[in-house]
Amino acid sequence: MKKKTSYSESIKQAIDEEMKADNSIFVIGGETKMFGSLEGLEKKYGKNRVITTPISEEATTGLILGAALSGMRPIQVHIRVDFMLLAINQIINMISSATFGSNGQMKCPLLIRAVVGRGWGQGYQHSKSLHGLFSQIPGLKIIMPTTPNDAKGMIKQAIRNDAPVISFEHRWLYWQEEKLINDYDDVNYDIPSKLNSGNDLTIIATSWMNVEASMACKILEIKHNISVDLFDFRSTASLNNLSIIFESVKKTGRCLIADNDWLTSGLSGEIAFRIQENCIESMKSPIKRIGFKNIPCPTARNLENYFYPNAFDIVRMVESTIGLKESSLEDFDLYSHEKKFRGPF
Amino acid sequence: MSPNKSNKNFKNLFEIVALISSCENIIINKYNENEMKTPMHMSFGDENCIAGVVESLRFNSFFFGYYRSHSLYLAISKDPYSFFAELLGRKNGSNGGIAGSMHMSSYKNSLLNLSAIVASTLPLSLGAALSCATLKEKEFSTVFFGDGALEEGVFHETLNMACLFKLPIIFVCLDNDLAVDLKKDYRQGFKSIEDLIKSYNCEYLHLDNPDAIQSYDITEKAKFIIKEKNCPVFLHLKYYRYLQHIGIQSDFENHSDNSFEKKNYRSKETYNEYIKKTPIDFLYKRLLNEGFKKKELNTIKKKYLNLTENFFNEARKDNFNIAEDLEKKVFFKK
Repeated sequence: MKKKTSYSESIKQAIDEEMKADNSIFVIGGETKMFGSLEGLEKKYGKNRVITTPISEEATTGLILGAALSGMRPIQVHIRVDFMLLAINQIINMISSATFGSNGQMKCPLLIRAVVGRGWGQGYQHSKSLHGLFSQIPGLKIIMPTTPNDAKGMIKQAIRNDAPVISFEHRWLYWQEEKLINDYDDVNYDIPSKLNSGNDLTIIATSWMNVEASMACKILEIKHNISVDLFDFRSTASLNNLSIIFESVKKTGRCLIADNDWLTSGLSGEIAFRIQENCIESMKSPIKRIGFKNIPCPTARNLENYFYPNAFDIVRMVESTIGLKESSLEDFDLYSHEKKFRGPF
Repeated sequence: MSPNKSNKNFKNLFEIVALISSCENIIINKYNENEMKTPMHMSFGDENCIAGVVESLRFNSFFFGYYRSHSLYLAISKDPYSFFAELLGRKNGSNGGIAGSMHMSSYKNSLLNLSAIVASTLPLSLGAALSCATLKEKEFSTVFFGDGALEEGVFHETLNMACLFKLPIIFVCLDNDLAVDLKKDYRQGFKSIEDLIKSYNCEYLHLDNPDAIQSYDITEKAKFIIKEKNCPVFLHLKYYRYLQHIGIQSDFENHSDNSFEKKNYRSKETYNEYIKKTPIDFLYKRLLNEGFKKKELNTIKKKYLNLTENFFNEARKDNFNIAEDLEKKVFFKK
């Protein structure tokens, strides 16, 4: 029986396979362990291809742009999304417009990987996601792989891509495991991936919220006999390929978007707008959204639990939307990071 | 090490400076026709510095510039048509009219990026230097910037990493003593640029006069040092900025109402001295001393005056880029 592979190991395999095939690829960052996702690569490829830098985020991001424009394929890593913000000038003023500014003549093949932190008191400077903010910028491709297979395939395709790609990787997903298909070249990751099939409701989720939404699907099936179409919105390129979601919403008439980000002016609003524009005549109720509370992330556990939405919140929102009586959720346990993690980071 | 008359390198330098001077004069003459709708930071003053550095590195370096890079683009590309077409926003401009004065590039000549954000291209030189080591298409990575860039954090991050990783980078600081209209005394909290650079593991070379031949020589020296000592080199080249920070006027003319610069922030007497010896005049006299004939140099000057005027008029006839095609240029397509 084929063994399961973790999300972290999948990313490592992707980078390893690509580095082996192309010596213009190198990894660079202030921390080049990245929770096991670069394990052994420095030893295998040397310090010139897995480069540990001083804590100089803006210069390092400028470096990868200069490398990309001069024929290399760099991969920059940030142990937290929040640290990437020191390089926002390079990302938004420089990288996003490099190809466009050259009248479309210059390639800009670079990948930035950034970890979305959560739990054990990460607080407001170690927990941001911000894929919504970056998805506003023309010239950047945003990916948010959720499963180990998607992580491997999307990272491999991102490295080969001639455009700048930013990968938002949720910290808790690094432990997820599944059997790998190991055939990624022909997979189109620019369309949403269907994780569950049903007829009564459409849920669109990003990143970790796919885990919460999957659990909510099971609860709704058991408690209310409600079946759900669940879509993993794994890249912002999916915004150009929403027909699979439109078909689902026209079938179910109801839609909920679970975004692992703040809601205000965010990606969830953009998706909702496009759905209403195409599906309004089939809608039985307004589109619902669930995401972070509109506050910076607090540290203490009870406050943190208030900040993040979970599977129970999704269930309650669905019950309210459809007009169902609240079911007992005593039989179910929420995913708890605390059972697995004792710090420090 | 100086360029040799017999191999025509002196002449090459004069041709580059004549090209730049002619193009800048055309801009000044045509600016008020309001057809070149792009903010321009004029190069008038730095021609000799740029010509020497570029001529020394032409075939073996990647280049990065900044918003004041008319000289750089022209010295590298020697292509006044694409230069003017870009300023006029035309289809066959260097960047199809998308970039304007502050963001020109020339991929085929390895001028990879300019930026309107102070110091932003400095770290790009790190990446191109790594590319030199791996792909071996070029030997050096050269980045041009003004002295105001030294007050940006990313300058220090970049210099630190360049020294730490011993990268083959030539940092070319074009020092006109002004950041917009603010002199160094009002903005630099360190003793001197020389002291600052020497506190890093970086070689410091300087030139107080904007002389194209000395600029060439000092760049040759920089290349030698990089190979011998395995460290980056900082070229500190001083020059006089003849015009205001942006636009075609000097600081002493009556500014239009929309000017954001102060007036009279530097000496009129100094300006009057410098305007008597423009960069091309300086090089002209220098080459006479080297044995060139007036007739030969005058012929070159006249050639570029006519040639650039013709290219400007031709570029004016070019079409604009098709707006509906812009979305296709956001990402590279094979």
